[in-house]
Amino acid sequence: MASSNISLGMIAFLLRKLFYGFFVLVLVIILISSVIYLAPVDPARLTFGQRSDAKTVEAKREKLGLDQPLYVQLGSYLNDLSPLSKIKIADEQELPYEYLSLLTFSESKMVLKWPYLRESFQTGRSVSAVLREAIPKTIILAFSAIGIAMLIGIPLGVMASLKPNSLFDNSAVVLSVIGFSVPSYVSAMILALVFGYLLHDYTGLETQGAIFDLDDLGDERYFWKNLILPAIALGIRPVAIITQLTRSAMLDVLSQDFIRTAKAKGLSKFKVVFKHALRNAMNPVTTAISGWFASLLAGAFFVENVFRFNGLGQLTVNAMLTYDIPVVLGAVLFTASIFVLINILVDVLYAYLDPRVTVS
Amino acid sequence: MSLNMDKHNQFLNFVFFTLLLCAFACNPQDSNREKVKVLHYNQHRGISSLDPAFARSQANIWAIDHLYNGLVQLDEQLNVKPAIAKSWSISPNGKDYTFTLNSNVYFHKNVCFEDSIGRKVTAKDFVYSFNRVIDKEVSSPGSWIFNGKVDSVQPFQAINDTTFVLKLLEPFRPMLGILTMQYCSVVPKEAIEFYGKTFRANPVGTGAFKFKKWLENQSMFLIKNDNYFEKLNGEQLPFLDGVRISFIGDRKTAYLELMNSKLDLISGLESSYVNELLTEDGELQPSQAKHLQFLKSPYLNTEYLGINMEFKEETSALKLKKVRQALNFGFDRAQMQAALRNNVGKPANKGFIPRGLPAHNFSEVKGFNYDPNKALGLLSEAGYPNGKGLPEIKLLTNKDYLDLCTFITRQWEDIGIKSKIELVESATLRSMMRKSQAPFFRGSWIADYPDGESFLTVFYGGNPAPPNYTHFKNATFDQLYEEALKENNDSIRYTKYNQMDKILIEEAPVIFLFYDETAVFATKNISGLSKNAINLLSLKAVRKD
Repeated sequence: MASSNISLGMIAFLLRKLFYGFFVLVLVIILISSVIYLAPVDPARLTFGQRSDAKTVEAKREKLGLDQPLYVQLGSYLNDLSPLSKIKIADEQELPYEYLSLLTFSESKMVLKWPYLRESFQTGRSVSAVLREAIPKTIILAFSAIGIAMLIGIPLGVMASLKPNSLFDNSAVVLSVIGFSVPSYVSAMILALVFGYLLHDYTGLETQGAIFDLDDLGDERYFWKNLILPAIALGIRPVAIITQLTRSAMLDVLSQDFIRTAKAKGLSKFKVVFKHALRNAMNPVTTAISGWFASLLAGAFFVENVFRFNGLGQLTVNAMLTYDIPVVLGAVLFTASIFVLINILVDVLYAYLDPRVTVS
Repeated sequence: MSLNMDKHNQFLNFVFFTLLLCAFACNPQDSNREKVKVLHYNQHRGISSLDPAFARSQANIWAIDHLYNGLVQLDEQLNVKPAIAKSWSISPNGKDYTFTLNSNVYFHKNVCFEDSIGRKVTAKDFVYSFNRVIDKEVSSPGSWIFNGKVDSVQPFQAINDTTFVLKLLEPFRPMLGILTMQYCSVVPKEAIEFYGKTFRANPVGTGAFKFKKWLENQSMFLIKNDNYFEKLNGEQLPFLDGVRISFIGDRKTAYLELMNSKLDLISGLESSYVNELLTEDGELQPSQAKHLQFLKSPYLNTEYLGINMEFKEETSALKLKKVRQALNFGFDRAQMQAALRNNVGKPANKGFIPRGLPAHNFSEVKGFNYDPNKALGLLSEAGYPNGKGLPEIKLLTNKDYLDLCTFITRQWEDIGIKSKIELVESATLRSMMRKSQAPFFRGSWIADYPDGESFLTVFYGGNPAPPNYTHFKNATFDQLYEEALKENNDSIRYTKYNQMDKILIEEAPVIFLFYDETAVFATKNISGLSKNAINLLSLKAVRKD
């Protein structure tokens, strides 16, 4: 194990990474906003039905700030997002959020606040509330998927490494590659159809459903069984990576001197494999898994939509179809932040675990 | 292997199987299902708001109808009948509508009221509710129902607790029909003041069902209102104990849920399951007859291909009337309905007003039928024999109607007309239609209220887009339209409607496709479902065995 060396250099490294990450987020916002702005659709009109009169639509556009040029809309949105922002004293009463005044000028104030993500165009609910409901579900899904992937992948990889180039080893590798190659929505649909519909009477599983729902009497309940198929569907792809990594890491470790020593000492095969070899083989696997966690969010979008899982993925797709810009931007911002943070975490983890990596 | 290994293994096995058992065994709710009568249906488009001022989509309308009432409502024959108003009269000049209200209608119990008791509905509540619809602050998408039609000074008045007066600027015969819309539901001032922005998810009405819970994009639950004011043959309504609405966006999945008896009712057809449920002739498959029932009825929805009559492009094949007529004669509507829609929906062989308005006799209106020879003749007269020299036509549609458009354009090829289909996202297409950027587009128009005027308004020259997406302007048509609005005698009014339809057929600003029909599939233990052309799912008289 590398020695814990949380030096000043490490902290500076971390700060630099955070700073760059922040820039990435700002760029993402600008890019997505511009693309949406250039789209030939009027989100205000979409909040109306088949008929409307022009005046009410125009009033709605003004209310949503959609009649302003792009740079004004962007500036306003970034101001809302930023914890440190400027507000006009004239608008103070109408602001839907709480803030702490820092500096006061003649017509404006500098305030400190939580990032304000605005409200959904379609429903008027605050985007933060909407995200707060959806995100935990996706996180549970992602963790379960990784859990399942590890539950299948690590034993598979260990067993494959114990009998290298055998039939078992080769089949395990081939199967895992097939699993990796199948797109997540394809595996999701196959699982849903086979286990949720065709074999429904045996499995008791559904083709769709969320983990938190109303039961037949209208009371809220947890339906954990609805997590099973989506988690498997999402976990199939990481299984391949984890199997391969575990296998090669184990092969690497098993050939090392200290293993021969342990075997010579007369330790049981079980102890050798699990207590000594695996623990050391887990380093690269752990870092790979944390890297995979972010990619799982992308796969979750597909899986959630197939299973109607009601997490971040389904929320974003629905918002995109109705041009519900604040929700889309909020969801994209959150996803981008996760990617950025995970990347920083992995970088730091590498630097921490491997003394060969310097943090200059 | 050593003893340690066995114990280790055994423990792991035990844990694993226990977890597995728990996952599959936890199903206590099945026993409760039998005791309460709850109707489960699916709303694949999702509900955006339970506020009547936002009753803009069918999904919202259905849910709001369960929770709220208005002055009047429609019966199965689309006649206006009493709801909260027990009687009404219209002044001789046609501008004042006086309603006498029932005095036994109460709002649902809710914390927004004093002592949480739902108080009695008065005429003042209607003044408040209707003013809300035209209030600029509220930005209701339903403001068009009153804007420009009601008196600008005092449109709504409460003479006393049980007398409500609506004042119009000019007589407008369809006004009563408009008042049956869910935008005109009565809401209590206390609820809006108490809930503010969250009123959309905390409805307080007078309806047969009360609000219980809503998990957004997930499911909604409504329970029976024990204090509901309406009765059927002396029996207190509603009969159901509750209503559960799911928001499964994928209609194939909803169909599977219906097959699994997790849903009691689904509405509408989709290509993925239509052949599982219906025969080619549009009857219920015999294999499904044991489990399901199928209700089909005319739906006040006309499907069409719209032509932007502004003709912004220099060369447009559609500029000439004879070409447009030829297009209308050039494809087989009956075959299209049979092949692609299992005969759900009737060929549009009349005008723009569809079937389903019982009062409207349009037997004298003769529209288009399939006549390729006539089509070729018209093309020749227009100067394009066999379509030679005719520029290519580009048709915009979303993916739901790709099969229809493909069918039509293929048949047009047989008479020499070349066309191309361009797929656009629904939201984008609507936007293009509104901004006059869609020269030739697939559209549909649903009646907002049961009167032919609701369809003819789509072509009135004084209207913008929407509803006049074709920018049709015809002086005779406009004159007839304005006269019809003021006409008190129904049969004279319907005659004018027929004349207007004939103008539309002659000028052909659209390609008439078909008149839609509603398709509802429900399990056999559901009874009391009514068929109505406005496609409103009214649940108050529905029973579940």
